[in-house]
Amino acid sequence: MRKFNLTALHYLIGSGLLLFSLLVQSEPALLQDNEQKGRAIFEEIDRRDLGFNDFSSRQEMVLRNKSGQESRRIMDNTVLEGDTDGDKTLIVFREPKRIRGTALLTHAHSQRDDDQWLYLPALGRIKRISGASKAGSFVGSEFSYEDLAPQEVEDYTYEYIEDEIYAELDCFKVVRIPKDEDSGYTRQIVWIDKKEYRIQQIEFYDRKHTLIKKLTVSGYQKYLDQYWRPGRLTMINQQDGKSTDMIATNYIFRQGLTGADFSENSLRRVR
Amino acid sequence: MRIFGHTLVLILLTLFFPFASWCWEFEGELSGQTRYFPYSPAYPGQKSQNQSIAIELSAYHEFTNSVSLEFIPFYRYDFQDDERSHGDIRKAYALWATPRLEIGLGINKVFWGVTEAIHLVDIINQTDLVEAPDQEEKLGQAMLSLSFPLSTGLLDIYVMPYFRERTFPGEEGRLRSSPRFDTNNPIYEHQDKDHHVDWAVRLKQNFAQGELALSYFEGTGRDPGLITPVMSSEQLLIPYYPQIKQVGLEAQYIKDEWLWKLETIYRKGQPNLHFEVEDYYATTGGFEYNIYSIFATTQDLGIIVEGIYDQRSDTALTFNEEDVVLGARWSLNNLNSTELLALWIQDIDTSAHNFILELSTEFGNSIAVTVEAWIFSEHSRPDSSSDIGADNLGYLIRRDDYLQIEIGYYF
Repeated sequence: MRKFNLTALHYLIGSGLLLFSLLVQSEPALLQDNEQKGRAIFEEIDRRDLGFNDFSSRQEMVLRNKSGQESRRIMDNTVLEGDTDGDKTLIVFREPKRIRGTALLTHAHSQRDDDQWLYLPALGRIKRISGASKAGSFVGSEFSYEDLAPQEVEDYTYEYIEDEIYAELDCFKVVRIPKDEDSGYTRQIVWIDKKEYRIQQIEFYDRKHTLIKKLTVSGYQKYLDQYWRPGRLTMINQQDGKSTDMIATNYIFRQGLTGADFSENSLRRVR
Repeated sequence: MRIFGHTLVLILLTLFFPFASWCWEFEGELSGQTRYFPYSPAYPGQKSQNQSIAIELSAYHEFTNSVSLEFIPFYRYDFQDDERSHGDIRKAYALWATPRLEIGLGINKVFWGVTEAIHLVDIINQTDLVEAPDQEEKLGQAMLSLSFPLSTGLLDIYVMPYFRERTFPGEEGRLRSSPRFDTNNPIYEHQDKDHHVDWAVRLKQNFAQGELALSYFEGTGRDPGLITPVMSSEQLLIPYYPQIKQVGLEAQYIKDEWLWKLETIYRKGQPNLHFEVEDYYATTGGFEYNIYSIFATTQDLGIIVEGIYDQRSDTALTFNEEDVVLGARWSLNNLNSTELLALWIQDIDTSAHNFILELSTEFGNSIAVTVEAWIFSEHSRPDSSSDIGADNLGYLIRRDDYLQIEIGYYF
């Protein structure tokens, strides 16, 4: 209960929604229900995505600054589903060509900082890097490392707000608050469609509780008759007008990958 | 090496052609480089500027999921320095990977180490010194390698049947010693000369918040000693490659944004500056601290602080015997991926220091520009009994501060 109040306080400072302060005082039981409902929604998202084992995709990032100049990054992304701990991801850069073959391996952990290695092919060097770089920009894009990291239910506390129509879809609107102090956010507001439990939009609030970024997700397709994956993610910085489009193609599921394909040693033979 | 290289290219070509119709991946880099030396040269024959072009090609083929071949030839043509015009096979390597064992055969590049300023433990590949004074460029090394993946680590065994001599700038080149090295007549301690079979083993263990590696090398030392021949019409230094044994330790500990690093070696058999074999240990370590999103922007700043210690002190045949390193890596995270690296290496006993500034930026998907500035401080000669004192190594290149611009085209 104490933990919840703290969460609510956080939220209050951030949103300034007086309505909620009234609710906290008058109907704490309802809020506790909302907390459980919010969490249940994300548990359902997690449950629906279980069992994919592994998938890979090609991702093209188009970075735009406020004057409309563009820059492109292309990478191949492979994910291995975690059984007891977090997922493992391998990102291999293709463009710009100067950094092609550079690979970033992440072992996500639910209870501690992620382990991360960077492979620099020109030097043949595998460099262990700090997994605490959550808030840092990913290759200059509007996506930070934590935006792209595998999401675990335990990474956040939740609170269901209301139902809302978003992009003609009947959605849940849920606030989630990162537990990790290294996170660049105080909270995120997430829209999830009720029918398929897919994230449609996220609003990110920074440490100063201002709306910093907005992510819209579109072009969902269903794979193996179960797993929904997006075709496009658009992150728009609300403060400086910069944006990044991420276009995902070539999804391939269940190539039969194992932990050995995501070991530090495997980085040496990455292509 | 020349004959060996040519034979190898031939063997590889004959190997490659039958598979030419198979799916190969080809890529490459073409680069032009110019260096400007603001100070007049210290030695006759040297020039005040330098131009060169280089090409590196890469061919890769995967026969099956577990068997692959990689071939990377490199060549630089230097318009001023004959010794810097050189070719090398950076890689010509077949790899067979299974979950329990990886076997590699051919020419490959292997890096050991964790620190940023100098790489003490790294010993598999010879330094391609004419490429850059920071000793980060390496020559391809012929080897048979066996890797055994462990549950949270790796055991590597290397057998190296062929030794590569270090490259040194020629008479017209800057950044050289005087007298310069005679790379045509190296002397080896072992009678097998460059065919002595070297071997090395490294055991690496990963931990939740760090890593630890222990390594051993036995064979021809990569760092040459110096012989000044008494009877010689031309004054030249002869590189002497001793038989050495080296134990190496690498450690890294990660806590939040802090990366703590340590490298230590103990080496037997290495001759010192006075050409006496002096067993020694050397160590380097420090930390890297990363600040993400500085000034509320998307820019990142990494701070590097390291210390360097060599037990031989003044008799060490190295620039760094007791130094402190301060560095910063600034990533602008802009559309051009602009990065700035500054390194200050300060000798503790004297005022000697090196300052390195490196700026890199990209234009589109295929072009990158790098600007480097090197400043060597030893403009005056410290007191020393010997002709080329350890503290004087920097003195040799005292007039070789330079600015370098390199444009690379990637295809």
